Amino acid sequence: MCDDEDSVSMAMTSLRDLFGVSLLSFREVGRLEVGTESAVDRAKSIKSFLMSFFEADANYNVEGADTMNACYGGTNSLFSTVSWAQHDNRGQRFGVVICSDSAVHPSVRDLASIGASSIAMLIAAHACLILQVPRATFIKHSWDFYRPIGWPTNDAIVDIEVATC
Amino acid sequence: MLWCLQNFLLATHSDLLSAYAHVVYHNNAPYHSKRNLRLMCESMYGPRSKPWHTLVYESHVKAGLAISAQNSTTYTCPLYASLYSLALSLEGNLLNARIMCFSYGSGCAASVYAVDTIALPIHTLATLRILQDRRPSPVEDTISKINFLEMTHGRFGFEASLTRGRQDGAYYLNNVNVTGVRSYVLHQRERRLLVNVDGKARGLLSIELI
Repeated sequence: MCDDEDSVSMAMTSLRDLFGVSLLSFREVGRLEVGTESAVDRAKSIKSFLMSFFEADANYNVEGADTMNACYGGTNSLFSTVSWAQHDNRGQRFGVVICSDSAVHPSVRDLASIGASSIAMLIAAHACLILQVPRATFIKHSWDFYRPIGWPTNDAIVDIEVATC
Repeated sequence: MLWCLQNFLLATHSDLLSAYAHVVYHNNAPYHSKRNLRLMCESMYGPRSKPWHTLVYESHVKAGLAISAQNSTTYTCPLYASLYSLALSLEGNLLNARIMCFSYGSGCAASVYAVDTIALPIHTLATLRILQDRRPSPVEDTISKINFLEMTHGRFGFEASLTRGRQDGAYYLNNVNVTGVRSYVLHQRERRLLVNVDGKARGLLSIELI
């Protein structure tokens, strides 16, 4: 990853690839959500960048926005888009969830914990993978990690004990 | 994680290893998934031997780490990269499997849920081959690039300068103007039309895009 790549460019690539694989049209999408903690703008969502793909089909009726909650943003986007597909949409249009992040730790000690990727998922009534209804969620205030890209003076603080309690 | 596991198994009346063919985790490295499984198993079944944990790891977790082993942490993505890894690694063997998923975000938020595979996901990207084909970069170069990336993140008024090694079909940042407007470009290899004249002589004309 260089200075010509970011969470937006990676999200654009994965969205383009998803539509290349699925052969869908952008007019068939009714919801698009992005999970990230590498937003490039403090206000403008990554999802809004991605709406440029929908302009050729004049599809502006696409719900959803970005979710930021450290590494949990993608899962929150998935849950809400699946809920939309099950209840609000009634199987008529497709949902898309994108996770896109770059993890940057610029000291030699932390080089093993850098990476960047984006994943696009299609949410539909007749899916290959079915999300089961029972699930368990635990949310609590804690300070177990802070090191988003763009905060170069913050050292990596990772406490995996919090994650596994 | 263990709180979610216990409440999830209580809600589903299920057993960890017998009910779920695979377990995928949010992780920063493959080792974290191995550790998470060990902690889960110890909380469910009590102390077990190292060979027992190794066997369970290989049957329930290892196939989901193909991408993670190549890419380290990527914040929101590793859990879904693990699901994708299962599809890449197991192909047809993934059919009719129940998969337990553990998602975690610092701050903190966590969920355990399950997905059933009733058909095989479609994917055509040779992700693992692309990852394996990457060329190693010297540590000094990598640190320099990371620092540069960090410096330019969220900043205004710059042109992207490190543009080598672009991949066909991927989007890249071109520039950010002084008011913060970002412009992106799709990288497509320059293509030339090559007309096969020999083919034409035989009554066939082939046009090849290279």
